[in-house]
Amino acid sequence: MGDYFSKLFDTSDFPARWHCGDWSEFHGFLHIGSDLAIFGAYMGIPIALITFLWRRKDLPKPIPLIFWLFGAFIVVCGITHLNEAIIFWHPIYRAAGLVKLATAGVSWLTLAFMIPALPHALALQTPRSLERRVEEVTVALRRERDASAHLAAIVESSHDAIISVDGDGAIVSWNPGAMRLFGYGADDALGQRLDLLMPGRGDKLMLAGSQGDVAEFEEVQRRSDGSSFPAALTLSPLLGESGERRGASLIIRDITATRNAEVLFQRAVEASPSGMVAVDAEGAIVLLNSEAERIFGYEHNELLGEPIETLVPEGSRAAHPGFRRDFVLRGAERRVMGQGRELTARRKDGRTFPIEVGLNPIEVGGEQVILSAIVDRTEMRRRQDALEEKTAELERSNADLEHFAYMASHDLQEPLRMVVTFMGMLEGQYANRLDDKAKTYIGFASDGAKRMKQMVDGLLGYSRVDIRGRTFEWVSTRTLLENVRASLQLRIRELNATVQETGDLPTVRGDARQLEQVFQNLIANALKFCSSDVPPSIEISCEERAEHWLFSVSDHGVGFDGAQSGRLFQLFQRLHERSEFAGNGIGLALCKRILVRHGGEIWAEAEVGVGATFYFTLPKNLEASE
Amino acid sequence: MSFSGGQRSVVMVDDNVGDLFIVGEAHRESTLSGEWVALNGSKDLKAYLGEVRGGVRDAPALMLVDLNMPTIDGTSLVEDLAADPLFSPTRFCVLTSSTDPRDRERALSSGAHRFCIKEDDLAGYIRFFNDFGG
Repeated sequence: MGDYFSKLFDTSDFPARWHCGDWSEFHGFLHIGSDLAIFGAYMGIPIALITFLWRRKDLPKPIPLIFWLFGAFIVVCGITHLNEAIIFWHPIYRAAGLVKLATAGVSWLTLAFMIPALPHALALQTPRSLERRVEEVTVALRRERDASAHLAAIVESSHDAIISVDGDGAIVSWNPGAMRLFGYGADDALGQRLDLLMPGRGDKLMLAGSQGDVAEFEEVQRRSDGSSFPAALTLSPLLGESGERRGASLIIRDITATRNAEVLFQRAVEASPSGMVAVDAEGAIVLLNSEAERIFGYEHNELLGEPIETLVPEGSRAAHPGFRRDFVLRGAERRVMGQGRELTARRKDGRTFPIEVGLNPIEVGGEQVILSAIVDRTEMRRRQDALEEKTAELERSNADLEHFAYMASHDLQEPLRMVVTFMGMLEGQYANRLDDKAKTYIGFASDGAKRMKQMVDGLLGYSRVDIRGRTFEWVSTRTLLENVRASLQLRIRELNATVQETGDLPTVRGDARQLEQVFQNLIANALKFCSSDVPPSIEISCEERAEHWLFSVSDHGVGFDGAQSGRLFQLFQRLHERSEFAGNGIGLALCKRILVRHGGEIWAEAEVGVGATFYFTLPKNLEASE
Repeated sequence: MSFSGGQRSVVMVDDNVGDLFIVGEAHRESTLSGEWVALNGSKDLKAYLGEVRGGVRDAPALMLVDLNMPTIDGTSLVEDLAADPLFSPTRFCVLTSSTDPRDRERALSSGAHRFCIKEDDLAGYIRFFNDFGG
């Protein structure tokens, strides 16, 4: 062994490799060149590794150590290859053996460290995964930045004042809303105490806020110009990451508009001419106006909080809560209460009175409140009763009058007939014994009696319109017209007249006999009041209107003064002298009475010497008047 | 009132020839002088007024006017004539069958001097004219 180390570089015992075997020059230098090239490269690799280690001092253990070992392994490998080249000329096999031993030792050492480090090495991320991770982190960071920018924007644009103070009570931040609301500039408040905004109160408030829980309350605030506004405040403590108290934040909202709306609502309720009572879901009165207090006879605010049943008469009180529940359960809708029933309410003194109630369900903060408008109907009912009584009285007296007219005209017939009959007998049997004067007298007397008979007959017919009217049926007005034409046939032929309808004539509901009378009177009148120079031409037509049929009968006769047309339909009124046109002034009054009974109207338009048109209407829906 | 020597006439406007006849009879038998003029309806009235306005006739001493006539409104006629200076010597009397007090009021406020309800017999009318004549 000792011999070995003393002769470490002694080459005398071995021939140089060139002389061992038959090396061709090429073959020898292929080995020598390659070994030298490997040696050179193996000396460079550790330099690169050291440079890398020098730059990347952050590499986790045991990576740097393995790098060092690997570097040493490469260096000894390189020396082994150098020795292989030297041995071609100087056979230093002893030294080379030592170098190989060193190489083996360093190799095993490296392997020994590498095996346990393998999991660490495998865990090392690839640049690609690192890139991805970096990207994720970047996105998350950007999102966080956007979110906080968003939050900042919300705070910036809020109409509410948002103010924060630190643990010492100095203002740390305040938003433009706070500047606007309190009327200060951007830098007026930063670093100041909250007493600036709320003199004598701000600091205490913030101290309480940073110590206590979230608090909400309302109080009046003052602007820098001295004016004030009602505000809703939310005071919250600001907590650090570990829950430590770091100050407080204060949000102040101007609630002037809400307050105004409240005032408006209260004034509107108060101004209502009806009694207004609002009831919550439990039936407690939560709001009422002074009219309601007046109607029910209570003092101011005496009813607030009382159950609504206080105002319900004893008899219906027990059932009332059930009605209320039903109303809400059935999906409360705005409506009039107790339709078709007579509702009563109870006054404080126990008296009951008729009312009318409109129910308006309103949702307030998720709770159903029913606002009722209540009208005291006492006076209305009194008037209604009086009106009904008056109407009944009128109907009675009308019926009495009709009956009277009917009886009177009926009973008048008899004595009248006596006058007419006996005057006639005088005229007939005593004609040759009477002088002219006597005959004139008799003439006047019987003329008067005949006229009176006509008038009494007319009056009788007039009073019979209602008393003896028949029930309504469907009547073809065309048929009526045919009947009238037939009954006036002689007269029409005599006058060479034309009675022509234009267009369709409808079927209407009515008393056929009476409606025929209307056509008869109007057409007979048109024939009577014709002008003497041309044959009468009478036109009948009908137009359909929304609610009624509009009939017209027009002629080209003598006409009359249109201004007098109102008088035309009054009983016994005439617009022509008896010497010109006979008649008793009943016909048109009768027409009017018949049409009134049918729910229609009649009127006339005319011009002297040009002609007249009579219009009348009949409702299309006669149920109401039947 | 002067009747200018009994020259001025007594006029009656009515649409009932019976009434015109009996009142004419009563006038003849009464003490009231003057020509009797009976006007039956608007045609007669128009002609008569034309004559007075044309100077052919004098305005009457007394004019009896019926209230309800088909073509003449008695109240308006009295009102028009009473306001006409030409008729200043004339006394107007509404003579009607109406007993309605509203008709009386309307007649008197239109300028009529009297409102008389038509009589049932000749004697009543004679008394009426005698009252005027006296």
